[in-house]
Amino acid sequence: MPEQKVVETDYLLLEAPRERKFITGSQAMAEAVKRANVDIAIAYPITPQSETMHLVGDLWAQGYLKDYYRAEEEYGAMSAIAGAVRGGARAFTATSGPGLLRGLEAIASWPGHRIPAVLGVLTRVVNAPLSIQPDNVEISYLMNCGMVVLHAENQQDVFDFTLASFAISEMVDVYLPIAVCTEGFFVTHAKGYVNMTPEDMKLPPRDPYKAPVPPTDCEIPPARIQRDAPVQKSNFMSYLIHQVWQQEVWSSNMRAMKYIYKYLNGPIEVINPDAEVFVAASGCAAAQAREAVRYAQMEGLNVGLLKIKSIVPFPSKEVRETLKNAKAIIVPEHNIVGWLAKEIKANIPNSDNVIGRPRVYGGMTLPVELIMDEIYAALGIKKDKTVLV
Amino acid sequence: MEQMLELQPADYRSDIEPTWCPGCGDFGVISAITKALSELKIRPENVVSVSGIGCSSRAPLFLKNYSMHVLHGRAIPTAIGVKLANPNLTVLVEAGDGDLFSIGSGHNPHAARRNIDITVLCMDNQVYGLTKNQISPTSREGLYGSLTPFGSIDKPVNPISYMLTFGATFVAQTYAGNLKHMSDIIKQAISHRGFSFVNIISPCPTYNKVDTFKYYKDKTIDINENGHKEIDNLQKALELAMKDLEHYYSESAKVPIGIFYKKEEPTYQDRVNEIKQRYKASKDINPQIFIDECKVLPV
Ligand SMILES: Cc1ncc(C[n+]2csc(CCOP(=O)(O)OP(=O)(O)O)c2C)c(N)n1
Ligand code: SF4
Ligand SMILES: [Mg+2]
Repeated sequence: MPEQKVVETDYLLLEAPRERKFITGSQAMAEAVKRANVDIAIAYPITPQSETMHLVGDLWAQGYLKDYYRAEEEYGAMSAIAGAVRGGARAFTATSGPGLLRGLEAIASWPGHRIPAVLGVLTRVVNAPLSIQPDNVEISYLMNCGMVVLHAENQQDVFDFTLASFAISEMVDVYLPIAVCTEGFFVTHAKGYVNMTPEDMKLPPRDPYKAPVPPTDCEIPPARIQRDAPVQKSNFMSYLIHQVWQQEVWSSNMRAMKYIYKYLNGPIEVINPDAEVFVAASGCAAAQAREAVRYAQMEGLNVGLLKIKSIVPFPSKEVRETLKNAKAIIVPEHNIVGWLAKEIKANIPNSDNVIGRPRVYGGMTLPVELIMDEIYAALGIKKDKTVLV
Repeated sequence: MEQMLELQPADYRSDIEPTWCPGCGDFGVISAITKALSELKIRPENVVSVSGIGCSSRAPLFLKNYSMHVLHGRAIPTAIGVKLANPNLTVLVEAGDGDLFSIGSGHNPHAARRNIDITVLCMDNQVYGLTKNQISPTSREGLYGSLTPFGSIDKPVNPISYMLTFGATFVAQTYAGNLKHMSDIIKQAISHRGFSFVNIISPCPTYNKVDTFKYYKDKTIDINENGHKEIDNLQKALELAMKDLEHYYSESAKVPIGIFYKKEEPTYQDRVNEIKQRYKASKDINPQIFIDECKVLPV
């Protein structure tokens, strides 16, 4: 067995020395799993997730994981994750696009069943024409389950978010699954610099007895609603039980925010807080937004970046505060529906200032020029053609 | 060491009164499960029951052991997760014919062929009870259901041959009208190392007016007492299994109950452990060796 010593969570996430490596997003996710003292990984292959789970399989061969199980498909994979986590294990899985939607049947019930698992979501087209290309519309389906949803910009985020998620998901006042999303191919199959904690250190093991709910299913509401006649036959009782349970799930979700502050440096990142125009983005689009903001600043324009790391819980207060004086908020996205633009609109008073463009989908790249066009338009600058050099 | 009290079947029941209709076969099934567990001296804290959705899938709520009541059709994969995480537990799936052979039918083959050490108890009433009378995959042709007012026109699934062909290492059938037989078979299924499947004919007097206790009363025949002794012979088991549904078409045919097949084979966990031993996990391992060796390894 490879020698890894258990270190305190706070030490590993906040203080441990870091070494810089040039790796892909898939490698970054697997490297985080390696340091997370994971008991079991369960998955079903799908492009572009396959590489990540292959690398996690290698970790099993090397002795970092106790078990590695390939399920029969995603209903099976996500159900087995629930069983394994309730059975006391720390569990990891990842999927993409159609795999996520198939798995959503079980995933939607994870939060209410209080399953602290970590799910990698390596996005891929789900709408027809079918394709394996990166498009993150699937994240919108995840947003209403009750789980924590983080969106990673690059390989570094993938490493940091994944490692921290194992710790955050098991906090007794959170105790929920966490999805670490990033764009397939653009991040998973491309290399970037990642500062990583030492290979020979890992998180403390999961203590399944540190839990906010008793483990006997028929004692807790998900089963209790169906268990005895008075509850089951009275819709009113059933509504009430469901209501308080889901309120607790969503309150727990909000309580994840303090750990996002502690371990991930907060749910947002802001460049140029006094900007007149903001580009607000998450995931891979934030990388392009960052570039656009850099160009704009080089041209002397008063443009800022709002990167949103945590999609659920959504940092409403922080977003409102950042954007309160913005004349225009440009929201570039890798999907056709514009879920991030909608979320921002729903959370700020001046929602008319949100420009839900540019949007690319079906795997198209997001050229910085497209964002610049929106910046010029917002500032009333006329250009024939935007060409950046 | 502290002396453990011997537990009686009643000690395995939770304090919840079953919500089943009077006369439902499932009452008998939980009696058989509690009898089997108490006779095997397996303590409730070491048992996990996993069920899907259906009248039958309520069974775990009426038992004292740990349980998970999960989505319709997903009891088997959830149970697999529990077993992988915690191999020392006795893991039971308690679900219906609809749950296991319609919506969840895709999971059986893989649990069976991998010989995962769980016990699947199918409470087969040949109908969807909970959703109030629709035909199920095991319903006989012609059976009336609320969505099939002129009777089912589908051929029924044969649960026994289904599980045998997918490689289950223990396949049996029993009947809710015969407590002794039922608990005996369940005991053997739980004791079997590997994947075990028991089809329990458990009549639904409320909706299935054909496959009733009265119908089955003199219909069943114990195959093990009537010549089927070579239970590790798959060919013979399959031949017998093919007769399972004959009674739907011929009045004189009997319903076979007993153990069709039982064979000791390495379980999934055994195989994983063997691989672990063979390769001795090491940080320096180059996963390429698996790829190279797989080309020459006997399967
Ligand atoms: C995904 C999903 N589809 C459909 C249903 C509705 N449903 C509940 S129980 C059931 C069938 C139950 O039949 P069976 O498993 O044979 O159980 P029984 O009630 O007969 O014991 C169906 C279709 C559901 N709960 N979930
Ligand atoms: S409807 Fe049928 S299966 Fe359901 S509880 Fe009543 S008798 Fe049993
Ligand atoms: Mg049924």
